[in-house]
Amino acid sequence: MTDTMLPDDPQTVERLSSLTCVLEWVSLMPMHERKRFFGALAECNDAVQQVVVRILAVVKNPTTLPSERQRALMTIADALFPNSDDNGDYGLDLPASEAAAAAEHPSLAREVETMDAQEATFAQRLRELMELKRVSQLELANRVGCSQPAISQMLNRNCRPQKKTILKLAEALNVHAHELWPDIEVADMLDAVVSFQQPGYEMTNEEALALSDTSRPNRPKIRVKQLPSRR
Amino acid sequence: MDTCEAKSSASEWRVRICRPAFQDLHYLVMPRLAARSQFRRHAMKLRFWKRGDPCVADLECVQIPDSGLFVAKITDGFGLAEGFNLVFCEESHLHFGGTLCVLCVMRTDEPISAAMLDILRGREVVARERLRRWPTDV
Repeated sequence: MTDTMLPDDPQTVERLSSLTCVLEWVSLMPMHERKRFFGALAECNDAVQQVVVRILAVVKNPTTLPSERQRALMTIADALFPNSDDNGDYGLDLPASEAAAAAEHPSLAREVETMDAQEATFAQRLRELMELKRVSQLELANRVGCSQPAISQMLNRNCRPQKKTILKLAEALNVHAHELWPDIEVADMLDAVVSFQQPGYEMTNEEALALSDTSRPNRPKIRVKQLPSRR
Repeated sequence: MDTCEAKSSASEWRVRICRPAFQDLHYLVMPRLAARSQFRRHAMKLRFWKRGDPCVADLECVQIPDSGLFVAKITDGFGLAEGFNLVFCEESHLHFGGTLCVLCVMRTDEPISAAMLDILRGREVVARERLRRWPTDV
């Protein structure tokens, strides 16, 4: 008789398991946080509530990676406590966020100016080289393996090219990459410096040898006359 | 409020980024300000996206099977990784035009595991529910 009173349909079993999962997680919270959690959960519609329950299971799963757990928690926070921009829209408008971030951080404003200048120089040089080499947008797109609209977007400064694209364009136009993007080698050096600073980064033997070569004292090549002694 | 900012032309999407994706960028993937600013420029190429096209500008685009999620691949690593994957979904609203919502930013070497797929689908549901709501001052 006891067995017939237990739910056995999969949907009910799943719901009860999910509820158990939520209650277990919430039991670890201080009382005021529990009220806040349940209040926020109650205000969500069914679809979002199901998302919260499902992602809680991800958080509790011992095989979940730390980065995944962090992403899961950020997702739950966003589901329960929505944030809108000044217009009441969900999330951030990507182009507008650049202007807002630049206004807040002067260093970013300088970075934005630098990027604008790089893209303007690139677009001008690309146009000049295409005219010089008499290559059409369609022909260049075919050589590079992208679409003609993509070339047009780069020429109109609507598309910041990736480094791989710059190298392909340079090869297609039979020029050196720095003719299209003067800072390309500087960017490589900066990226290398950043990569050295990443936690857990291990220098290869080649990198170590290259560094030791550059660390030799810089002996002058011009023969200098020894000064007479003061005696 | 001018709600017609959604599409400035027939071929451009409005591109938004959800808060968890923004947090991915800041805390998990790209702590450098300069790298984030360059990344943002690449992400803005999504406004030219066309469903079914293998590329958007010079970014390769694929769809995650059996889902409404798409991945744009950025090969520039900014010294931090081999590259980055930008996961997004499309939400076409009858009145405000089309919106692409960036749901997640991941390094190229991060796999889309079963747990990650649950997270991405969850973010998609939340984003669609929120984007379908009317702005408060209409």
